[in-house]
Amino acid sequence: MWAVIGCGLGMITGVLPGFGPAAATGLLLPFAFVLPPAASIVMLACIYYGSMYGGTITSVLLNVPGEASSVATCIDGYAMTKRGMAGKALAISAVGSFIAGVIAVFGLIFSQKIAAFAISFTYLDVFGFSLLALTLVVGLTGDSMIKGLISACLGLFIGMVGLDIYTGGPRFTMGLDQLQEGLPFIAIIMGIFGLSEILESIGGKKQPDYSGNIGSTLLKWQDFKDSIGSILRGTGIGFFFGLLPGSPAAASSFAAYTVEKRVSKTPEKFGKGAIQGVAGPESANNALGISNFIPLLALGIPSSATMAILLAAFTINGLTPGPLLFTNNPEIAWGLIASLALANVILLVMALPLVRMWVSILKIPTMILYTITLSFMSIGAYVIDGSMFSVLVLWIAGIVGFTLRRFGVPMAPAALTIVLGPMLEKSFRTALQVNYGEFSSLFSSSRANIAYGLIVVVLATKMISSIRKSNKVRKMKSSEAISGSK
Amino acid sequence: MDNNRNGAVLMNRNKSVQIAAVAVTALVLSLTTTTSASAATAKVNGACKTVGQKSGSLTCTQSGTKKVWKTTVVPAAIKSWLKDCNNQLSVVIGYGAGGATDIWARLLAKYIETETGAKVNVTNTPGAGGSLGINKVMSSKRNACTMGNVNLPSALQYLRPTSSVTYSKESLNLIATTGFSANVIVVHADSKYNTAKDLVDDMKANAGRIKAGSDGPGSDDAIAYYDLAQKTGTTFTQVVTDGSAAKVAALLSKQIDFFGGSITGVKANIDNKQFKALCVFSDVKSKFLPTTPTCKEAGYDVISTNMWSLFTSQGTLESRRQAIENLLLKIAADKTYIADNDKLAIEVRPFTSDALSEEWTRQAVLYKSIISKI
Repeated sequence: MWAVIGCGLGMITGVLPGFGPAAATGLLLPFAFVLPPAASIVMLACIYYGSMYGGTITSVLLNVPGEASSVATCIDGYAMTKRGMAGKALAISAVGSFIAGVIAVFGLIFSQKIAAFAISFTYLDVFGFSLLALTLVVGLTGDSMIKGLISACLGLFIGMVGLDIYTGGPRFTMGLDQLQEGLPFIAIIMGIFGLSEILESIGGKKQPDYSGNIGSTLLKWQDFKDSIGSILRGTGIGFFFGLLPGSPAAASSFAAYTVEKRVSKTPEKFGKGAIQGVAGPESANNALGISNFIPLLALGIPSSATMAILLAAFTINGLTPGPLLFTNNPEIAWGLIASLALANVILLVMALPLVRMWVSILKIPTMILYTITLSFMSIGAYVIDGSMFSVLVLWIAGIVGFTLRRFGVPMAPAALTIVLGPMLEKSFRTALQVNYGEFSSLFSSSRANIAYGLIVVVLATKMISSIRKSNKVRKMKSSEAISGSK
Repeated sequence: MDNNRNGAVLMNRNKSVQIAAVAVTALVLSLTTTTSASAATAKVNGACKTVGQKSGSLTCTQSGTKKVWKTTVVPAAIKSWLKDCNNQLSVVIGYGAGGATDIWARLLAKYIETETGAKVNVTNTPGAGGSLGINKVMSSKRNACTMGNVNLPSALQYLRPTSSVTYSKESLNLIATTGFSANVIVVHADSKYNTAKDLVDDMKANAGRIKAGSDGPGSDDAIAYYDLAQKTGTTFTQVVTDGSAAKVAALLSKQIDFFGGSITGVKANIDNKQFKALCVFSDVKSKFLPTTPTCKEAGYDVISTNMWSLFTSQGTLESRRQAIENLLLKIAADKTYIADNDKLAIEVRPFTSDALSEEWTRQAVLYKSIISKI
């Protein structure tokens, strides 16, 4: 019953932009003092897990990510909605999340062994893989590499705003206290994706009408066949990212997205409503939701704010997450794992029938829908820090996003680099501190060296394909010129 | 025509799906409400052991098989406070959800609710080391309907030369302290250090090569490290990590040799035998680590603690502020409250507003002398 309540509340939480799982679990933490240990922990865990799916709904239907990890889903999820495949996008999200969740729960069974592997990752390794992830941004640049890089640089700049944690000095804060913790990520993302979309539509000659774009909510066998590879790859990526303490959830879904685009035989379909572009990130998102529990259960390390609240729920109940949890309180550890397995089924059962209800939102006349969406986004931004500052950031980001769209600059690279920039910087600087400032140490880790090698491969592949493409264009032009002269 | 009929069928299906969905949502919400109600009863049962038992202004009475609280004597200042606030109080936390301050505040809020019957909303306004939350409370109405947390020594950041923080002790209307946690030096369970002396000796032998996890310049651990280095004549490398969880991960992966963290934050790792506690930066032994000596006992007189307090905006009626202070001190004396804090490894060490003010001044002098040298 607590798992059902948790999943339901989590899904609702995920749908509300800005009101993330940390706020929801924090609000309900006092229940941990009065409920039996297993009930309170299971409920809070399921809220977190449910929110991972809930965030997808607004990403797909309105291009508004309910929470950070749903940003990558916006790209092809919303494009599917525009193509009349909203129902299918939500259905594949639910199925992909289910499969990823089931596989990841199996991984939880081996928590202690996997945790030992996770903790062996050093700052140097994280730096190598962050750099690799940043290199993958070339896969998101779209038709114009220059425009893609402009977007990526903008994201890196946004990620630099705030106090430098190493020196305590302000960077680009313009004397504003509100900027000391950096720009609010969710407000920026809602602005550059959702708000700019609305502004673009309002500025267009014809208002879009999505009321007929619901489409079938049933997945065909072909859809499943097209997506299963993406689901499995996304599961692996998400599971891996969830093990690394401090790794942002949005990074895993973006990594899954870029990998899908790279391995696809039809990469040109990405950004235009490719089902794999939804299945991959969504599976990664849910696998991360589960593997996030491994550092907590096996090591006692909360890898996110929500996990920190869960840690508090454990301690309130006299339980100590960590290596001894499975020995001293096996009923809690295994009970939680069983509940997460059950939560997968609950989410699938709740999500699939509700797909039709969610997509029926699109039947609301566009202008009314936009008004409601704007209200939700503004409330969501306000909820982030309880001030109008984030609402202002939302609007500025929306206007900047709208302007850039007009010049054909893609938004996805910016979203990725906002997340990856700070991660890259922190891992780089801390790795150097750990190694007494010796630059040569950057090549002292075999895992990091593998990542550097992969970066070379990615860049070389991109260069070769660009050269081939330009050669092909040149040949076509010259053959056209020859045929013209004849 | 077929299309129309199909459309009608589809619409009906849509409607039924929508109705089902609304029903599911309603069920979830009603279950939540039920949970809330049963939770409240369970709490009452837990705290109210016998009929007629008194707890401050509240008395236990028998009502059928259920025990309920019945309000008896409520100070006039509290009555007018609750009336002005329409029974809606707000506690602004300057840190994010899930942190030690947030959890401390939510627990305290629960007890304020029980004592007053008012609804207490805890909201997070993270940013600028807690100062955004402080600013928000400072600019609130002068009726104490909005209160906020102020943590020592974090609040002393206004003393840093680069700080843009605009408040000082005088701009805050201090109420009282209830939460306290000392910092403790921890090392990996496999570490060769078994005592603080082992660590200090190695820091002397390998100057600059021993690595300590730190929250960055101006943080309480950086201040404690500086003090420790000065008093032991050692130097060591500080590795800045992004928060306490990152410090725990760095020590588990042996990328750092030790760190100083709050007992609240590392108690679980010590209990799990992942870490060894070498000494506590406090003047007295911690009840949560009874076998761990204080650093002073180990020969290194360094104090580093965290104090969690409430304050409100200046201009609030003194009688009202005093009544709230009394309320907090009463809660701090409540055995159930202490037991709940014990579970979180938070020590309940009450400070009146005057005592807190004195402690603030003492810490500010120490902080200022150190921060200018870092």
